[in-house]
Amino acid sequence: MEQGKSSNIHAYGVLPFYQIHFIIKSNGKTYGELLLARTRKKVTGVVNKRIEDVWWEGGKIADRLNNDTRLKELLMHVLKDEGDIFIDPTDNAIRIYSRFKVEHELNLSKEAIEAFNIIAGHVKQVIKEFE
Amino acid sequence: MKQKGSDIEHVKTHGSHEAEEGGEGEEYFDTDIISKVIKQLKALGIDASISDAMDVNDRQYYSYYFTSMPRVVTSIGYIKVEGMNFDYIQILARG
Repeated sequence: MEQGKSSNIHAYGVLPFYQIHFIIKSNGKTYGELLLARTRKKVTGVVNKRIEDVWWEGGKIADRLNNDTRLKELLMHVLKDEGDIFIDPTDNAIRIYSRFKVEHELNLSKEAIEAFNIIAGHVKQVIKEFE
Repeated sequence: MKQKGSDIEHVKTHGSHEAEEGGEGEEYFDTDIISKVIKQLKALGIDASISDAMDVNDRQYYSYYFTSMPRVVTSIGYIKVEGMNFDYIQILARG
């Protein structure tokens, strides 16, 4: 590496919008559509948005997530900042992520971490059941 | 992207050196985002550290079952998390 240059500097064309992925190591392709899910929400208001209801759509895991009352309670708060949450199985990992954010929005709240941790817990349980 | 402790140290030193010289003090480095997230996690009582994540690092970031996901993204780095149901946190940048 040339002196004074770092591989950590932004590559040309990279935009300052960031997305955080919570990764669970597993062969996602094996479970495919079982683990594929996303949130849907009913929002009222234009300026002062309020989330009226949150539910999951997708594979087998969606039913399990819909039955978790603590998760639903957390998502009512968390989705105001996070937009929607997706569970996305890829080749060698299962990824849970929300929307892209600008740098100053990139704050992980206690509720958000708890919500992502609960979702990851459900993903692991489904994997265990189908192993 | 490979993230090493020594690289980060180098980047920080370089940044402060620029500021001392009256250059672009606002120069921006990716590692700031990683360290910012690690600080946030540590403040929440979660043990987190920078990782290579070689076992999940295969450049496939989306399955594209959800069609709205971007085609061009760049990995900023991985964070290894202890004591949680997920193994790593990855930060991606658009473009």
